[in-house]
Amino acid sequence: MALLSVEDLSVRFRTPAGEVAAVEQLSFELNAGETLGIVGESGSGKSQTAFAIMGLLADNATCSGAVNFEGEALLQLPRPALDRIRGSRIGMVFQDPMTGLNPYLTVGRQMSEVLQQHRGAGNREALADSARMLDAVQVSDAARRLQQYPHELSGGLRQRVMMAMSLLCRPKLLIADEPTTALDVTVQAQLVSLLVRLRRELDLSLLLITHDLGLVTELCDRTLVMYAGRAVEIAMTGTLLADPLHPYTRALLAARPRLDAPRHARLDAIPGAPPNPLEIGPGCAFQPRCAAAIEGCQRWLPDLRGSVRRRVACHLYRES
Amino acid sequence: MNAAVVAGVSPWQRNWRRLRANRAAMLALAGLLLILLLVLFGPLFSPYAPDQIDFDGDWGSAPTAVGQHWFGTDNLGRDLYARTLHGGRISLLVGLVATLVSLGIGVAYGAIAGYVGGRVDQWMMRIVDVLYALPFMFFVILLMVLFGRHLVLMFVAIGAVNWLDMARIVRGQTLSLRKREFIEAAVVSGLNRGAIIRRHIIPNLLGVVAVYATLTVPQVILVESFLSFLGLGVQEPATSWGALVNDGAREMEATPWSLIFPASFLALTLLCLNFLGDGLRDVFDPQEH
Repeated sequence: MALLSVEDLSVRFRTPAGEVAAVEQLSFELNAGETLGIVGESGSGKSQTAFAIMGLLADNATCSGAVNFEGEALLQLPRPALDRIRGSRIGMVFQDPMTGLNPYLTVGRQMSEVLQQHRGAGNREALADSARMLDAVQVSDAARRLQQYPHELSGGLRQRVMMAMSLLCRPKLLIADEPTTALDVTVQAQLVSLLVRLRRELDLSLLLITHDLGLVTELCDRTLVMYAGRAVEIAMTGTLLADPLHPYTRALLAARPRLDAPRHARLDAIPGAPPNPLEIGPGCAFQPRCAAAIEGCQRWLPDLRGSVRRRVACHLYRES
Repeated sequence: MNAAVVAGVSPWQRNWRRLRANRAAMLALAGLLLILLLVLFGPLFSPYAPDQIDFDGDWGSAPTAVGQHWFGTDNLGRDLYARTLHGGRISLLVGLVATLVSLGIGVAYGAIAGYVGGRVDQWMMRIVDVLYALPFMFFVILLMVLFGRHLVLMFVAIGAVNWLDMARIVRGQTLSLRKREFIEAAVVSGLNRGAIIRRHIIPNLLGVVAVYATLTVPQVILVESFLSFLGLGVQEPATSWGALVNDGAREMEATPWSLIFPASFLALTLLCLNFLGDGLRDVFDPQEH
């Protein structure tokens, strides 16, 4: 059975300009022990998906559909029940390590707070546990770090602290929202290998939200590609990279900088810009930028079709 | 560079260091401490009680450097030194207590409204608007008539009105704080609203609150002076700086010292508080976080 299943999730925002759909009828499943990547451009709805799962949506958002985590309907849970799950059974790591920690609390207090909340742990016990978890995420000199304030740590260290914090209660599921975006490349690499190790050691399932296809290649078993709030393709990562079916996925892969490309070669950027969510027509949202668009693309929305191994939402795709 | 290796320099310690580097603010702080010490212990050195009439001397006598009345006497023959310092106790007490009252209510109210948001916020802030619309003096007079004139009542009355500003400021700050990632991180680690407000929102508000508090104290002292002027504040024979200045102003042609001394204490205190507030504002500059 799936650890996390999302069915027909839609997220809409009421704005002065009208209702904006950030996520539209998104469905996916995440199995225990699996890593699923969600990729897409800025504004494709990938972060809002994570926020919806965690109950973090802004006040002006409405959300429909169902999110099921270990038999709990997360969207319908009242706040106290949700609080018991967040932080203990689901952890989340944010994008920006610089603002993710409270500047007025020591690392130790912020971490032990989580344990005290969920386990009713005593102060000393909580601090000891926090130190152990800092060791596990390879923060050196954990005992001293616990007494430090966030401004005394580097960006990479803060990201590790945040990761340790989200893992303190040994959650089954970790949602990582662009965990490496704000870090420089060497620190990114360390963090990736750390994620790989933690996933194995703590038996984690990982929902990785990113726009970094390299990260997806290294970490994810399966990958979901989002465009303008909808899933356009979902497949095993290897299959997706080797044989992308959706024109958007293809364009995305072609736009990657390559080391073996001739020098001074231009990147194959996707022409046009992501659509304004207020102006999406009835058809496929990618159609205006799509080189392979056919006549029906503008009028009819393609369904997500295919097998369990891969599904794609494109009129050009014929099930064989 | 070495400072980063020493474990645990809290933002408070850092801010204190930065405040210490601000000469005007430190001077103001020293001045305030001096005034506080004088007001607390100064009366011990005077042979006169504040409400004692010196029948031996002239009424309204000038200050004498060597004599007993260092600040002179007022038109009833009471020692102005003793009266100024005793009045200072009342003024500072009103300033402090009323500020604390407004701080306590305002911070809690504003933080809850700002953090919970939505309809709760709407209602809570409309209530503030309604209270703003009530005529303050009418409200105070009503309180005085209902419960009699009392010092504690004055604290409550002034504090109860001043918290409205504090609540608005705190709410605004909270609104910008709640979208910060560390608040979201606290939410996803399963903390309930109360814990988030207490442990994450309020500590991050204190900078702004401290700045505003230093500006509230002078304001409150002035309000007290005004109430005393209307005869609603401190009652004779007790006194405050405001009451003394009021009395002194009436006699300033005959006995200027009865205005000069309390007025300079009042002015100096307000000046110091404003300088301190300025220094604090520099320290807590939002770009720093």
